Amino acid sequence: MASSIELNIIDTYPASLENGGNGITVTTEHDIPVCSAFAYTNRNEAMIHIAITGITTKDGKKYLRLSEADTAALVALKGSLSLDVPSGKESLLHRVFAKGGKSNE
Amino acid sequence: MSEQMSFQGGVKFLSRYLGRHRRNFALFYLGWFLDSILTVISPIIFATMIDQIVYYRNISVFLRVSLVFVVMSLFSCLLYFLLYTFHHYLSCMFNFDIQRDIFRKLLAMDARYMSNVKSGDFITTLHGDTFECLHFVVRNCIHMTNGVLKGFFYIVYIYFISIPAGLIVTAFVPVLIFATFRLKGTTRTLAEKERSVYGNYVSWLFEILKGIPDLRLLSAQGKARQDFTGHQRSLFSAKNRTGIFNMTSENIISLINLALSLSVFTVCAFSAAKGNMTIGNVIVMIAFVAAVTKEARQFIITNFMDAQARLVRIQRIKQFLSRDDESQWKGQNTLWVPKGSIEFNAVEFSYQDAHPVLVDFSCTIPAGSHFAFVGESGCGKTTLANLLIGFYPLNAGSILIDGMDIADCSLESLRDSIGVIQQDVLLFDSTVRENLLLGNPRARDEELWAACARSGIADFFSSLPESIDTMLGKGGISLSGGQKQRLAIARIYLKNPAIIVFDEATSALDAETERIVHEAWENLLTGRTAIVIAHRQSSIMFCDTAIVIEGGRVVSRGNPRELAESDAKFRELFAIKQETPC
Repeated sequence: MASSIELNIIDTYPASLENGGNGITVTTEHDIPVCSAFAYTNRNEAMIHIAITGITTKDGKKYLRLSEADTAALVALKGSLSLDVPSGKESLLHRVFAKGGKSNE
Repeated sequence: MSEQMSFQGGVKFLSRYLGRHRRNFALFYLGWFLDSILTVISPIIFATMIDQIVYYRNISVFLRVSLVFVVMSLFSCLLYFLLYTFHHYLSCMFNFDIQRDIFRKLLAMDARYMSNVKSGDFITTLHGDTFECLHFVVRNCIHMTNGVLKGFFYIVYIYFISIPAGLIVTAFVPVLIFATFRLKGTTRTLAEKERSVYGNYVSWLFEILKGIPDLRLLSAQGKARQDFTGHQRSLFSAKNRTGIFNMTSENIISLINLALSLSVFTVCAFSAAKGNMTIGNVIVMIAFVAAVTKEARQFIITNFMDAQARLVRIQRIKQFLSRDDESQWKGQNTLWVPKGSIEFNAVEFSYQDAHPVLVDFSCTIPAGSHFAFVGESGCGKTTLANLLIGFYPLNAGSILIDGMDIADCSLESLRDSIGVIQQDVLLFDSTVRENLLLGNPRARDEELWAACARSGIADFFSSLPESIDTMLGKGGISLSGGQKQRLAIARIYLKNPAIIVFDEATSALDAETERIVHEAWENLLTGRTAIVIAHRQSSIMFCDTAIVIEGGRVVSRGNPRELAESDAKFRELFAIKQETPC
C-alpha cells in the first residue's frame, strides 16, 4: 500500500523578486521547468501556488512568465524568494525509509 | 558475599533455558522488532501527511497517507495482541523449566542444606525469583536491545533534520551514562537488602504458621506480635529506602531529560521561524526527542536499574542450582542385601570441622538382629542412621552392608534396601491409597490390604466411608499418632527392605498406643535387621543388643535387660528419663 502511494519530489530553487517599472518580475539563475510551483520567502508564513507559463533569458538572467493573478499574489512577498518545483514522483515507502520523510532533495 | 552477577552472566545463565524455546523467542523478538519499526516510522508518516496538506494542499495524498496510518495503527493493535498472547505462553513454558530444575534440585539437595533451609526463602526463590527471569529476558534484553536501536535511529534522524539539535542530544548522552553508573551500584545494594529482609520475613512467617499451637501453649503470642512488628518494620524500612532512592534517581533522570527537551525545542523553534524546518519536521523532532527521553528513562530506570534488581534474583537461582547435591555421591553399584548385616568401621564424622560427632565409631550388627542405639541427645545416634542411608558422606572409616561399602553403592539402591520410620510420618493431602503407595508405587490392592492387616490398621481403613480411597489431611480425615505409625509400618511392608531403622518412632505416643505399635513392629521385624533409636526404655527392651553412645563413641554394649541391671551409664540414662517430670 505504502509503495503504491506516490508523492511529489520537490526541488527548491532560489529566485529574486524584483519590483521594477514593468511591474513585478521573478528571476533566477537556475534552469526551472515550465510547470506549477510554490513560491515563498518563509514557507512557514505563506506559500503561494503559481503557474510558470514560460521562461525568457536576458543578460544571463532567466525571467519567469506568470499570469497576472499569480504576479499580483506575489506582491505580499519581499526579497529573496524560494521556489518549490515538483520534479518527479516517488513512493511513500521510499520517502519514509530512504529520505526520512523529507520532501526536498 | 559471592561476586555480583554481571549482565552477561545473567544472559549466559538464562541462555540454557532460552535455547529450549529458541524458535519461539526468535519469533517473539521479531514481533517486538516489527513493533519498533512501526513506532519509529509512525511520526515520519504523520509528518508527511501534515506537510502535504499544510504546504502543498494535496488532499488526495493526505487522505491516502492517512489510510496507511490507520492500517498501521490497526496492525499495531493486532501485533500487540499476538505479542502479549505469546508472552503469556512463553512465560508459562520458560518459568516452568526453571521451576522444574529448582524443584528437582531441591529433591536432590544434600542433607546439610536441607537441615538449614528456610522454607519461605525457598518458596520466594521458586515462585518470585523465577518470574523475574522472563522479565529480565523481555524487558532487559529484548526491549533494551530494541530501545538502543531505536535510540540510535532517533539520534541519527535528529542529526538528519537539524545538526544543532543532534549535537545537543549527543551532548546529553554522556550525562545520562554518568548518572546511570553513579546510581546503579546503590540500586543493586538496596535491592539485595530488600530481597534478604523479605526472605527472612517469609521464612519466619512459615515457622510461625507451623508453630502456632506451641506459641499458644507457651503464651508467647506477645513475643510473636513483637517479632511480626519488627519484621514489618524492617521490610517497610528496606522498601522505603529502595523506593526513595528509585524516585530520586527517576527525578534526576527526568531533570536531565527536561533540559534536553527544552534545548532541542528551542533549536526547532528558531529553525521553524526562519523557515528552515517544516511543521512536519517539527512534529517528528518533538516526537523523537520525547522518544529519546523515554528510551533513556526506560534504559536507565526500567531496564538498567530493574536489571540490577533482577540480576540479584537470577543470581540466587544460579547459586541454588550450583549447590552441592546428592548427584555428587560417587557410588554407582547396586547394593544387594541378601542378609542384612551392617558394619560400622572406625567411622568419623562431623557436621562442622571443629565439632566431631562420631569418633572412631565401630560396631557390627549381625544379619537379622535388632540393635538399639541409646544415649543422650546429641551423642550421634540419629547421625549414625543418617550416615547409613547416605545423607552425608563419612569423614573417615566405612559402613558395610552385607560386605559392600555403601560409599560404592548408588543412593537409590541403598535407600531401597533400608526402611526408616520416624516420629513424624510424612502424609500427603491425598487418599490413604496414595499415601500407602509411597512404599511401593506398583503395589496391587491385595498387597495394600495385606500390608495394612500386618500393621494392624486394616480394620480402621476398611471402616472409613470410602475405604482406602478416603482423603487424608486437609478436606479429609486426620489420623492419630498411633495410626500414622501403623500406616508407616504398612509402607515398610510394601517396600520390604532387609534393614529397618526406627528413629524415635514412638516417642510421641502414649504407653498404650506404643504397646500396640510395638506389636506391629514385632511382626514387621521377623527376619529383618533393625536399628532402634529411642529415649524410652520400653522401646528398646525387645532388642537383642543395646549400644550406649557417648561423645560419638561406644561406651558399653550388651543385652538391654543385662545392661539395665549392671551398666551404670545405661541405668543413669533411663533413670534420668524416668525422673523427668511430665
